[in-house]
Amino acid sequence: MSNIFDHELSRRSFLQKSALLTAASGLAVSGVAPVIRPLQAQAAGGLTSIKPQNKALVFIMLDGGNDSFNMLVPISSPHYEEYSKTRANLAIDKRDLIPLKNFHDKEGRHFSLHPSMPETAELFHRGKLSFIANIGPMITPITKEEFHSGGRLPLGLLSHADQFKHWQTARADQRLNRGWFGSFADMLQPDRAIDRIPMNISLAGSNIMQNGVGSSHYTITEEGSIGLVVNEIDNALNRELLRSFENLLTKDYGRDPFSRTYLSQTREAQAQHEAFRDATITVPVQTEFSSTPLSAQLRKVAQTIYAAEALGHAQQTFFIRYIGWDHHDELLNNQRTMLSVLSRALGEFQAALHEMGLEERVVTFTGSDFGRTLTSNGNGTDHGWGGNTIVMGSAIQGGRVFGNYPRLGLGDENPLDVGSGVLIPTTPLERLYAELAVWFGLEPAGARGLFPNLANFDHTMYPALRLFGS
Amino acid sequence: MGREIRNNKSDVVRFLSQAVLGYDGQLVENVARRGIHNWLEKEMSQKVINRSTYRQLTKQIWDYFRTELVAEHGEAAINGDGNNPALPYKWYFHMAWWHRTLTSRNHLIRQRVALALSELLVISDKSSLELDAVGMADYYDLLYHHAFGNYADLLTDVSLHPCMGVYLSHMNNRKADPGRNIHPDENYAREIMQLFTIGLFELNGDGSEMLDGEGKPIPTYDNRDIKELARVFTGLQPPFYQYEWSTGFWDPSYNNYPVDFEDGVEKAFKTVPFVNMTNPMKGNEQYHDRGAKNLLGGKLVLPGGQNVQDEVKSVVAQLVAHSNTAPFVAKHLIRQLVCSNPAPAYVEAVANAFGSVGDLGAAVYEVLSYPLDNSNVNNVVQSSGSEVSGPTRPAGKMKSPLLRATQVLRMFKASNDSGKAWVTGEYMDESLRQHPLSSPTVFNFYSPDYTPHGPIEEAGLVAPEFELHTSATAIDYVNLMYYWFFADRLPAVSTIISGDPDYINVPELDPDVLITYPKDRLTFDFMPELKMAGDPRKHDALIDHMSLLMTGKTGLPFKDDIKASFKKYADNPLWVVQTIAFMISISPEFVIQEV
Repeated sequence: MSNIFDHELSRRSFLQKSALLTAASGLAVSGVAPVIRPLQAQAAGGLTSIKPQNKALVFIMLDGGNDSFNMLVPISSPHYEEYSKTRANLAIDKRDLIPLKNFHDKEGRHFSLHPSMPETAELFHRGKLSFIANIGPMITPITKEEFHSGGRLPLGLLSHADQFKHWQTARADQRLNRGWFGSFADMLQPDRAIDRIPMNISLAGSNIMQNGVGSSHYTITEEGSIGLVVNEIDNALNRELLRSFENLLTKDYGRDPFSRTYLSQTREAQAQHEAFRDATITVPVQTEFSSTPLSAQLRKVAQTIYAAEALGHAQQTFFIRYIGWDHHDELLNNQRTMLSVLSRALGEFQAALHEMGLEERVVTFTGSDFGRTLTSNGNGTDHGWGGNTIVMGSAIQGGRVFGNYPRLGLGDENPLDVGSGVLIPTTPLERLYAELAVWFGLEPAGARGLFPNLANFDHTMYPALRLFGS
Repeated sequence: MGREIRNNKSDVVRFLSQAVLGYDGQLVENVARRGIHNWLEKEMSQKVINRSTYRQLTKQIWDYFRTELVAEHGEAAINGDGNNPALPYKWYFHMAWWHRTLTSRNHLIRQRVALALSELLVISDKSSLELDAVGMADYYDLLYHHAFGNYADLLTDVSLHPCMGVYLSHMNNRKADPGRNIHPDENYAREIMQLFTIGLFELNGDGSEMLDGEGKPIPTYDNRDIKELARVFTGLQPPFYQYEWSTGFWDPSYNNYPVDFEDGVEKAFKTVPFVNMTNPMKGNEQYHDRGAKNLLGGKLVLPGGQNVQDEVKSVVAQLVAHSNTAPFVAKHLIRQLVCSNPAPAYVEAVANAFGSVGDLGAAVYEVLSYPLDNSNVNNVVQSSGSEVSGPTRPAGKMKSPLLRATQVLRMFKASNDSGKAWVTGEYMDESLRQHPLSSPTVFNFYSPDYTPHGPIEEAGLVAPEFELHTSATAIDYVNLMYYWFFADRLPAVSTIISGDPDYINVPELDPDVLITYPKDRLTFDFMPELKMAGDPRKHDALIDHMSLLMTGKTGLPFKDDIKASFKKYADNPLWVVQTIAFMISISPEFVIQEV
């Protein structure tokens, strides 16, 4: 083999580079580097590490900014009335909402779900699904006064690209191209051979969350991995073509980083496809899935988790992107349709995991750019900040709303409202992510390295969620 | 810097891959004979007289299908109750776009620039706009018509176009109603600044970010600015009601009826497909916030008392004149056409040509001629850290999947007997993850700062198009080329109505059905190549001939592999030609464009 793709060398030289940058600028350039370093030291007596536990994390990005205060709605008095007054023409009729039973928060607030989410309500009632209230990217705690007088805000607050990025990195003070799933792979597959399939699997192509310092992700579609046609139809011509193709992939384009990257990525894809297909194609799934892309993708995820051992994966992450939640317009109609697609897919996925005996090993959670303005722009809502998110799995304490669900009044009556019902989050993303990471096998001490801003949040104002019990 | 005269075929091919959507051997000859500069100037001096180029063709194609529908299913197919509507679905624009892209003999640079602009001023048929190909074609005409015009004029027209009004939701947007907790929609106000003009951070003239005392970039605006600007885009309404056929709920007399906020018609009927989508949006001053506006720290000021159209025009002029816009748009154009990592001096030269009114013609001319006039490539491309020497010029960019497709199709003169190159685009979109006016979101198909792991990242460079290059698409592309060259399965063309009883009112889209219509099937024209391939002694020269056409180079490093792969069937000229074309089409020499 030539030196076109010398993974280890690339990784080292990059680490050296970031160390230099860090020293020169006095800034923590790489949020994940501190986690990687101890890992390399680990062989010699090690610090932080992650213990493979045969688990999978599944992230569903609701891309565009889900109006989640119409997804999880307070139904008790006076909470519903406050909701209804603020949301005006966008408020959902109380009679249509699906009440969530056997739970109220410490302020006596009872909850309900959007009418199009019966499957989600059922999962909640069966203890397999919970919500995290008013969560979002933050750097430090911040008050409304500080917000208006130059307090530290997430970079690019209220804009899609940056908030999507923060949901993937949990580093709202930086613009990184590496995320926390990526650091798992840096730790678990540091010297992955090119024919071994990355543990981070994307159904949405390139993303930041599953990018580490050296690690990247494996992209599949709802049909599975993509293989070469020349390889699948066996004849003399195709055999010759395949050989030439493989020779081409090993040519040395020494000086040109673009050509080298093009070839190495193509080569890796080619090397991994067959292993992926063979491991996953025969995995039986009895549960019926809807025909929506989201359901079809989750079906493929279930098969891939089942095949983890055959794929050589001790752990896995999955990245799914459901686009179209930027409901500036036609909010009520469009969100109804999309929540229904989401809810059905979640129900089907959890049922399949149960059927396949995988339920305890998988936690699924949603993210979204931001919550939206509580106030209406006539027919829709605009970009906000804090929002409500879903966590699903048998391993979690289900049937709960974690965190502090905010008051939904406006202006002076709500210390969280910074204008138009844009709410300061009451739980930073890192609280959720750290608990998921520890469940995934990260040593608790490692969470501080992975999520450095967590140290800015004290436990009185921002208590642990205890998603997985005490 | 003296003007370098470089008119050999190699230079011409490199230039054409930057300047046009596709070229063939004949065009290479023409440009080489005339000289690159002369051809560039002549090509750019051609005026577009018809302002509805894409719309007219889209409408013609749609009318053709309507006629076919009536012939097959009777008048009920396009009028009356109880059937799927025969709307101007997105495919009719796809067909028009591909037809022009594959058959046009002139305005080639303009076509390339229109596509580049469509990846800046993004609207997408992955939205309700899929119901109005004619509207989208009319929007594309703006990009095409203004491609060498004035960016301020273009952006004004874009801001008032109903397709943008639907896509970024400022159509039917009304001024604040504090009593009901209703504020104006902020969507367009945000994106016109973030994506279409000034961007997120203050820029220097050369496109680099200005830094504050702590070395941090300086934001150009904050949310208060967005709220202030959102007040401008209020009171805009669709031109008038217009539905394409009559049903129990829609009487033809409703057509051309003015739209009003309070006309008793539900808002769901004040958008596609129930309104006209080709005339500019109309203002309704009762719902427009006529107060004074002041944002960007006093850099953008409106006195108030103006109607919405005048305010939009003034806002656009002030945003385009902002010192950020020239380098912002300059960088986009360079990245689309020439290279992902332009040197600062290159950005500055294009930004200066763009100026404060946004002279797109001057900017495009600079984008394309700067690399020709600067013999030292280090002035063109930001250094990658590795020295560049020898015959290889530095990589400019990865060609987008769409660009690879258009270039391959034109290179070998894909055509059909019917003369209708009406490609539906269905399978292309699936396998390339890219199609004109079909981006997943307003953030285009890839982000300008994307960098894949490995040597590109280590060199501190960006490579936006690599965001589309994944383990799935890398192989999809190779397979697509295999289907085109060996399986005789070029992109499917449809001139017939659907045979699927569940979807009668659309064109036939199933490639397995379309392939059975020989008159419509696209095929490559390998005539000159086949002549050479018939003589095995000329195979070496044939590889050089084809690689010169496809990549601007001869003596490819994998030439021996190509020869080895057709060795066993060297007596089959077609297979020889197909093998050469296939291998080069998937090679870095073709996929990565040099400066």
